[in-house]
Amino acid sequence: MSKSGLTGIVSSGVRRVFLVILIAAVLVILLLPRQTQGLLDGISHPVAEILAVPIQALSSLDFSIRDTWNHYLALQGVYEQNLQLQEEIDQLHAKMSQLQEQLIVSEQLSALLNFQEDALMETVAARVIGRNATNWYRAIIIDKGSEDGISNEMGVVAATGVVGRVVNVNPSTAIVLLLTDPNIAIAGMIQRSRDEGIVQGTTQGLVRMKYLPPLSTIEMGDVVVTSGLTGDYPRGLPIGHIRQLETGDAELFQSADIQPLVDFSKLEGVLVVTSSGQLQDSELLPMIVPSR
Amino acid sequence: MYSVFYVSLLLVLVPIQVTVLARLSPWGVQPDLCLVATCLVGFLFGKSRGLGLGVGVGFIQDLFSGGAGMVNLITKGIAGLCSGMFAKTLSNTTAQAIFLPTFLLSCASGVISLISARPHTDWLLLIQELRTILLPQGLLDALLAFGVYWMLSKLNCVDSGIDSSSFR
Repeated sequence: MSKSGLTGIVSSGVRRVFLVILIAAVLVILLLPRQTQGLLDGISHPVAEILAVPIQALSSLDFSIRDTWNHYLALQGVYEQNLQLQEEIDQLHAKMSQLQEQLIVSEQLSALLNFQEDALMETVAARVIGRNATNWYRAIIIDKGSEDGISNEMGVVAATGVVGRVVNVNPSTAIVLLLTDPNIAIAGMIQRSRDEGIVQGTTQGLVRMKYLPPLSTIEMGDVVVTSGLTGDYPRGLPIGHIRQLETGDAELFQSADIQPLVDFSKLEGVLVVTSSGQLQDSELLPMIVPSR
Repeated sequence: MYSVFYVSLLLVLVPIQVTVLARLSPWGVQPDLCLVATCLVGFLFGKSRGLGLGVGVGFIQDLFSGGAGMVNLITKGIAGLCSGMFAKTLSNTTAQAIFLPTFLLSCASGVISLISARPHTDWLLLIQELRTILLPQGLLDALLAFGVYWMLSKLNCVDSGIDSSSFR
């Protein structure tokens, strides 16, 4: 037998063994997902570390191209001024909503001076470097991970309101599921009526508030804020406005469509809530009593 | 040679998918670049390489996706294997011939991903997602595979340059 013929047989044998091993590996992962999870986790962190480099590089390139484009397309001064004013409005909106919330809370509990309300949250600022890896989850990728103190289930907010929750953490990146994804649910509250419910994304990419009390007096345009019942968000962070109400006669609860305050398609920076700590009375009072 | 090609695909596909492609989404649906690449590698280089790339790229896609488990690893692996097996049955692989199999593989992979992503969703909503996301994605994937294969054949890469022997 010639040398090349022998090499061909060996090569085809190696390929066949490789194919069998790969098929066996896929079958094992498919049939024993829990048992193989540990092994895959061990591989995933270094791989994610390596992959974070090209993602961040591409994201920076994408940012700079868009940035240059925006500056040349629009008049530079007007564009920057507009951006600054928009940011200011967003911040004022968020501040107003929080102050309104603090005022209501303080009125309700003014008789009890020993209350502990509202949030002094600790956050980590992160940049959005990527979006959905598939069409089946509405998610963003941020440039902070476990090395920066980020862990699963932490809440994520923007200047205008609630963004979502961390679902997957790599050493230098993390995946945040957006509020519009059906797999996310957070505890919310109507700011005016104080009715609580669950805010959840829908398959159409909208946001819906469920399990509202049947006798609740919700109105269109009511502001929905976080209720602070779960540990991932402090109380009073704005989520959105009530856009449409749904009250069926046979339904046990009311539900409502929410118009989120955050424009998820234009998110560039977010804050990850690492601790939704509580304010002490002495810290809260100066914030709710206007100084003279 | 093939290992360099394979590693560069692994390093480039998912970053492009999550950065550049996330902005190019006609009808609000983005093509699955990883699936298209896996199918093309399967059609061009056979089932072993299709499966190999599918498993690798699916694993990385799972790392940067919002879902739990290794759904993409399995679906992309199977897609690579099936495309390689399909290519073996063809006497002459052409851009037209790979359009339908890519569409079908994309739909099949999408159905599995959809069911795993929405375990408690009403069937009517699932059907709506099939219509609004899965079918357009399948079409985009098939068109992309068709376009890339057509371009490769115009550049004479399919017939002369890129055959499996040049990657050994």
